[in-house]
Amino acid sequence: MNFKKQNPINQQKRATFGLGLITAIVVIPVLLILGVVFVKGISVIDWNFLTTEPTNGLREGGVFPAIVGTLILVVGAVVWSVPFGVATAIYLVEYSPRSRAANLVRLAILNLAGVPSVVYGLFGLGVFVIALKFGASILAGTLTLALMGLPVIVTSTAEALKAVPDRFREASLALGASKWQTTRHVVLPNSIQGILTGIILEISRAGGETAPILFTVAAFYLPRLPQSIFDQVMALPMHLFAISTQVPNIGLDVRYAVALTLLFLVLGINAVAISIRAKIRKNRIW
Amino acid sequence: MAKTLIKSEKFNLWYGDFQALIDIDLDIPENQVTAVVGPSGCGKSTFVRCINRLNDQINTVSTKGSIFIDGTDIYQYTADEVVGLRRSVGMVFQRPNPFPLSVFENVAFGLKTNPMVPDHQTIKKEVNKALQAVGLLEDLDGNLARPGTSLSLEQQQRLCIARCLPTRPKILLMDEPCSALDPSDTDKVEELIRELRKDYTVVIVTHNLQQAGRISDQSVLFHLGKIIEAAPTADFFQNPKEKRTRDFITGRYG
Repeated sequence: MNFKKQNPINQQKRATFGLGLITAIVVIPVLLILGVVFVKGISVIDWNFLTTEPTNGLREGGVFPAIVGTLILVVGAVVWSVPFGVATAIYLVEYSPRSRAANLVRLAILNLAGVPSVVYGLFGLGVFVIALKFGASILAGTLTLALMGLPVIVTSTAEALKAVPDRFREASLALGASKWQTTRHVVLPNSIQGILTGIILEISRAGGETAPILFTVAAFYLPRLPQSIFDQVMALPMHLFAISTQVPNIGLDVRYAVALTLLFLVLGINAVAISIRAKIRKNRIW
Repeated sequence: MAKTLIKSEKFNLWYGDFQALIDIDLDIPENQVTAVVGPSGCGKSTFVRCINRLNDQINTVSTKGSIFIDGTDIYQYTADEVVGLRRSVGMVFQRPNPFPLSVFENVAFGLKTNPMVPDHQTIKKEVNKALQAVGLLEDLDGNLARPGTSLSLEQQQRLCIARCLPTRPKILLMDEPCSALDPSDTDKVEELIRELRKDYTVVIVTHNLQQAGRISDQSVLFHLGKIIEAAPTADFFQNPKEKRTRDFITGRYG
């Protein structure tokens, strides 16, 4: 019999080092981005910058309308996409888990996730802005963002529903609860965390996207707050794009300040959602 | 001989192409405990889950034949009637599965999902009565706000039994209710089952022959989807008619 020599302890050490190194390679750029944006942008950010309107063709003043605009767009996207996304996921998982129609819908949603965001922008322009005559407006923009967020909401909700153990469904049905009562009172309360995870992902995406809002809602320069859902708004990503490419002679530090404001805003909204999720997790008792 | 409450007539069930139950004929007497025994995969759980039509949940299941409760064929029921059927047939599962809610909400669940929701006072009364019946009211000192999942496994199983009671079922189905419990806890649950017989017809699946001997009035042996023998428990164990029953109770297979 032949033996081959090996040294498990050394292999273990090399594996630990290798995996740690790769993780560091992944993490360092993220920290660098945050660090660079912070260091270069923080000097410009003050109370005035955050609370006043831009003046002199975007060259001076603050970003207040863009902050409000981005907030409205994020909230609007969530408000449209969550009811539709959650309902679709419930139908797919609880009501028709293996039918041909459900498979088609699933396939369509997966494909939806792969569509580039600029295509959503053009779709929104064609359907919401022009065909439905919403014009470039909060309504058209949030609907476009919601459409883009749907795959994430549907997928994360579906996974959350599937993670609820069948023994809860059986117990509920065996007690004479209908399928809807079982879904409403047993399955949904136990999958709310996963649904929130989907919402958190959507917030980040909706807050940062430029292409879908470019033709549907974002205003280049609109130094006032919107009055109705048929108004346009400024948005931070669009504002960043505008001052970086369309307006000459704006200091680099101002651009970084806008980027930093966007980062803080999205992180802030996410922090709220994450703390709600953490609270639910703490109260969960199975 | 007691009155027959549940009657199975030439009942067959398929999971896709696989036939799990073959021509099941069985009479289950009222207010008695019927134990269903047999080796793993013999169809005993499947059969019990037919009595409240819980197998309807599985897409691939198809059935032929009838199961009568009180003279009506439950396999002629519409989807709405099936929901009503499940309120009159309680079920306790192998693994205790209280909802992640308080003890009170667990027991109130059946009433709150009723088409006619009773007022809060009535719900409270029924919940207390159900918990009293399984001996949990004393165990918990009336603290019904505790999460159901924080109880010991044995208490959880008694909670799951109590959860079935407020909708006033006639029948309690139990699918190996003690298999997750240790011997002393099993004693307590068995004692409870013996008491429940006064008010309910109990059908219990068990892999534990001694348990069948201790708690049941009638025993039924399933093998490969067929009933081998159904007899009063004393006869079943002391004087079995079939050779396969003799082999099974002496531990030669199963």
